[in-house]
Amino acid sequence: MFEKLIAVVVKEFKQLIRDKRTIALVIALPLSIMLLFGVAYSGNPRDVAVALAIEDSSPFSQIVVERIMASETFKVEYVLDNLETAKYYVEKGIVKASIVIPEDFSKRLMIEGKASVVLVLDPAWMNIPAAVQAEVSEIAAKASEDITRELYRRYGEIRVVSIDVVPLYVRGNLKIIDIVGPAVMGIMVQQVPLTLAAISIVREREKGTLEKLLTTPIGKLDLIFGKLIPYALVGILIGIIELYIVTEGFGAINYANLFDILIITFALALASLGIGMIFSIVSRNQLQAMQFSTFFLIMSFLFSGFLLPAEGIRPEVRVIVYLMPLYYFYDGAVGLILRGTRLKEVLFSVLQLVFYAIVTLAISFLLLSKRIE
Amino acid sequence: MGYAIETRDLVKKFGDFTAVNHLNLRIRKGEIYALLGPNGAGKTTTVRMIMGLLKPTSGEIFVDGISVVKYPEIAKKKIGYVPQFFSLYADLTVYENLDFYGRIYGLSREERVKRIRELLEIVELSAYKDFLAGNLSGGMKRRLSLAAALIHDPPILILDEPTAGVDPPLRRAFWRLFVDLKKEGKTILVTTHYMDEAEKADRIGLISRGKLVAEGTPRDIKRMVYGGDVVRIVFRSYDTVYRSIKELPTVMKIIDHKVIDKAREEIIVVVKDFGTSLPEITDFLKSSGAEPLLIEPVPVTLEDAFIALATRAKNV
Repeated sequence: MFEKLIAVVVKEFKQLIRDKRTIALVIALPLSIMLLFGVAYSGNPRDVAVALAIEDSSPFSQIVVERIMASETFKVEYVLDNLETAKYYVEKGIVKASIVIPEDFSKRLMIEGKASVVLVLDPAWMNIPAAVQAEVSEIAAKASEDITRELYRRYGEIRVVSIDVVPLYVRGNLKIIDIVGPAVMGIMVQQVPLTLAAISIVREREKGTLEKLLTTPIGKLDLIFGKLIPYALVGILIGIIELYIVTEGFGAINYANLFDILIITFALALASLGIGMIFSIVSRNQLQAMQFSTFFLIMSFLFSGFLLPAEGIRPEVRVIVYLMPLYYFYDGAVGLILRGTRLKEVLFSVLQLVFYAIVTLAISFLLLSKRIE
Repeated sequence: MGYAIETRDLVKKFGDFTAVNHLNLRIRKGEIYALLGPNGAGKTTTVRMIMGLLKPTSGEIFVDGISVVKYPEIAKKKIGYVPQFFSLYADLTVYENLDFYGRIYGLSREERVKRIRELLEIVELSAYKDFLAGNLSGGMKRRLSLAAALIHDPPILILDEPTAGVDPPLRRAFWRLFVDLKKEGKTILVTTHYMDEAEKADRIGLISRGKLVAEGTPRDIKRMVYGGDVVRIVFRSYDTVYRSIKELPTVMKIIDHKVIDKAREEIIVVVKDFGTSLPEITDFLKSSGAEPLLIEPVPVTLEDAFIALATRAKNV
């Protein structure tokens, strides 16, 4: 009675395993993403770029400074001498956070037995503030023990001191939509052109229209760019509309001007098209191309620094982050939208995206054959 | 005069399978050449190699003297190609499809407008120019494909099974078109597995298992089977005639002999050439005292020829 059911089941299995690429896409790719995810997410944040502002240069603060310097979590890029500069560096996105040892640090320690370390944090960096706070709290606890011991050595009496951590958020409170907005926008701008490009060539291959087209004097560049330009425009349009829905419709913060956003969106669209084009050329059919595009979406969600910042991903596999165009976009767009920086300050992100686009398009140009075998 | 299309020792292997096996085609300028063979004989593979879509394993291809392997882009421009399966855009209209290919071939706006109007007339699709190509009937799609192949007025036209699955009236219309195009000076290479259709070609190449087993005019091909023309002779008989007809120099072989009734006999013989042997046979019968009633050529169908030649090639 199950004959027909079994017939379909057997047929589906056979079709699944017939093509090596499909096997790879159905089994190997999800497994390797899971594995990569496990490795990447199981470490602690490392090398978070911070500025250290030392307003108090007593031996006590030196103990804290040494511990911060020794921490693997932080990469101290600037040593400053006041809170105001430290705030400025965070506001401008030059560093991810600043750690400030206030002027009255040792005085309060001596008199009250407790002092504070101030953290300047930017809520736009999703998980970074929490990670910085956790690490500094640990450092503060250890430093308090050191100082207690030091005081005992000096004065021969036990005076328990404690250091607490005071977070100071620049730009006050960001709503969740403010932070997620640029990421969602980036995903749209990436995914729409990427999927269109991923289908473009393989659809013509599957429908047979490529056979005729390849016998004409059409050049590979004509074919690639002819397909990409309309897709890029669609991607940019979607990105901009998305941004305005989020900001105008739901009140998310947007300090960027339209031109700056257009430029970085265009750069992301181009990079995504390059990736999509490669997918389209290596796929045998539209199903495979769609799978490639879906997996890339998952990858960019996990590894573009949005869910977990690059610093939180284990250094061994951190290179995966730099393969995600969304990483560069997110880096730049957060500056433009949330921080109100201008294009020239995030130009490096834009250039990285353009470079990414050039490399991927060059690869697709080389892979695209004017033959059908 | 060079050849329109020439292949030299063309070989194409897919893994262990040899699809095209040392094929030497020489298609003359201005002729209609039918590449005739059963499914899987290597026709499409050959055409795809000529179009530069497949890379030959070995051998050379020249289109109008230009090497396809070395200069595919130049060679391709000389050919209008109609693939076996519909390969235009189903979601564009008839006009849009032709306009697209016109642009690809670098035709100016004015040229395109003029050329598309002409072509739509020729393939009788003028009334359908704003229809989506995907909504056309099978026959109309074929006609549209032909128009698209002609958009850049190529000197050579290659059609891969253009009439497979097409009804007889349209097949006849297609062949009338081919003849018209030939009159314009175009060279036409058609692959087919329809024998009756190949008969209309100037020359036929018989392909089986990737090899050219015979080549020539339809008449040549038929003659190859028996080595001459087959003639049926009916006469009032004397039994000596049957045996002594062998001695006629023009008669190469007696295939069959039977007595129809008391007064009539029939023999089927192979002669070198029907035209020249006709008077000889008549004279002989009369001089032998027999009365010739009917002397006629026996039509050998291409199908017979094909089966005979393909089988012969297989057994070699």
